[in-house]
Amino acid sequence: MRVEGRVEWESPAADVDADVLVIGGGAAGATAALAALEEGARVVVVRRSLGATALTSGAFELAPDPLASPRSPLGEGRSLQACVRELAALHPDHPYGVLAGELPSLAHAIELWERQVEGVEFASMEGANLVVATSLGTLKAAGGGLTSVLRGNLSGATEAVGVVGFENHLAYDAALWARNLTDASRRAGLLGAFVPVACDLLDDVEGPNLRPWEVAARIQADPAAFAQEVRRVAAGRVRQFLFPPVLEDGVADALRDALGAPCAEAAAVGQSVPGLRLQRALDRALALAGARLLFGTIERAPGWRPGAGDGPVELRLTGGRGRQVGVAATTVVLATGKYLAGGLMKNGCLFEPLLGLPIHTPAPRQRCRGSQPQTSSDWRGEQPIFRAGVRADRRMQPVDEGGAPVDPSLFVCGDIVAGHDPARDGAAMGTALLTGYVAGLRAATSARERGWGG
Amino acid sequence: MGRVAGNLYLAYRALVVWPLKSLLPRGGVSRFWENYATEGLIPTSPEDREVLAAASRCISCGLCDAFDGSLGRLGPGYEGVSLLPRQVARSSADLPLAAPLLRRLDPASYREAESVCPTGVPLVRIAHWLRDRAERVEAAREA
Repeated sequence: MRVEGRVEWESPAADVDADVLVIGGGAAGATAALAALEEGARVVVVRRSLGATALTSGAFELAPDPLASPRSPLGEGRSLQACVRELAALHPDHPYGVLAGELPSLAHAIELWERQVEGVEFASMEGANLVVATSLGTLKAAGGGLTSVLRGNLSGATEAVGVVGFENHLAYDAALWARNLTDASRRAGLLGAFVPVACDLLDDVEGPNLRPWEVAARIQADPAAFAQEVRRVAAGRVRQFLFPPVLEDGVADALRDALGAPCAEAAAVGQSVPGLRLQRALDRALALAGARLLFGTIERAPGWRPGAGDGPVELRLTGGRGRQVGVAATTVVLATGKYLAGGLMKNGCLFEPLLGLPIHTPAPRQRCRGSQPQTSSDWRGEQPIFRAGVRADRRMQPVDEGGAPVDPSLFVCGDIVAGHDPARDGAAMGTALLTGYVAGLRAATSARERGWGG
Repeated sequence: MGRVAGNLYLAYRALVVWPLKSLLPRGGVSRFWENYATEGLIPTSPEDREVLAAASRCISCGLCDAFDGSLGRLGPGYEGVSLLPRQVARSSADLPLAAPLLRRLDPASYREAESVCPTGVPLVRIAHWLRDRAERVEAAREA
């Protein structure tokens, strides 16, 4: 069975029950749901909106080399496995550190994605990070990504690459992009050379400010005509192409076929067509695997609170038209993200708005005294606010300040987990995969032990 | 001493100023309308404040723009539905400048864009509110 295009998220009319309820449908939530489905659980995924996954660049950060920097993205060229261990040793509170005994699960999560999520690939854990170009002309280390992005791996590139831009667009300037990439590659010790290929695709009036999705829609409308224009401008100077991150599903392949040359796309910065494609691929994977996908806002049912007892977790879902239904689940995986998606909030104090779980921050005594103490004026220093979150044990169960699980039915994964700073550690996708896989597996096992369906 | 002076002042406000104010012609909102409406500055109602607070949740991630059916259809000047929460921040005196564009919006078409907003900005309500406020400002100026 194949699910084409966009998957519809249902707004339920009647009460729902599940073995495993996953709250949040981004990378971590999807991984947890897929892992639980493999264990045979009846899985329901609830999503209120899109989140950080839909804004990802298309290149996945698993673990950067400790000596890597934007100028030298390869660092010492250590293996991904070694980089993961290094990060775990450096930050014992990081999910990699908490799950130090479970690190092989990261490889299992990667296998799960490679099997079930269309259009993604990963580097070998025994090999080094790959290096891909961003649409700004900088370089980025990646442990995996969308296939179309990873095809642009520059770590072994020797031939000249044609970088495609648009004459009438302010953001996709081929000459500037090629110059930046040439400089960045030279500094990083890479051999790549970049030739600008400025196409005349967009008109003068609306072209300059078109959003990435609009450029993507224009290319998707007629990839053959676009390929013809690229061929005309390139005039045989290059035998491989790098496109801006404005290619819709299947367009990179269509361009490759039409041009008869390898075609890759850059990693996005900010608004992201690849991010939306990844989110759609995850939605399709969940639908194909048999998860029930619900749209709406979830809240605690009156009378239920974490640690209330051994019964099912009772929640309430408000769907699309304000219709409310009850949701009962044997176990719940919280994958609600951090500040962007609203998994964590700050209103004087940091708090977890859905279940009121205890928040852990590296600056705990100051957490209720305004925003200043949670941040540091030293931009190179640690920022406690980004490492804040719900602390979890080795089973990915939220724990209180004494380290005891808050509720045997609850599990957490992804950005909401304390101890990792996605920007500083450069391991956001790796954390989502590892914690999602462990949380999904444990939640399904726990639900089975307690009798499916509560 | 300071406390006594404070209490005396409060007593003066309560016993003299306040009764006098209730007897004299009323100011407040009506005076505001009188003085500022012609400039396009109209009072902010509790509902306006609710919309302003909701619009301030926008973090400019741009996800909603990817689901905006009217992007491209409305032409130059319209940068996508994320424009609306930012438009709220404009002075109401400038709002009539955007009125022609606001009239062409179809708020119902923003339901999908609203459903993907990570911070839950009510885009449909904001679109209705902006049109309504632009009309209120224009009406106030004409009156």
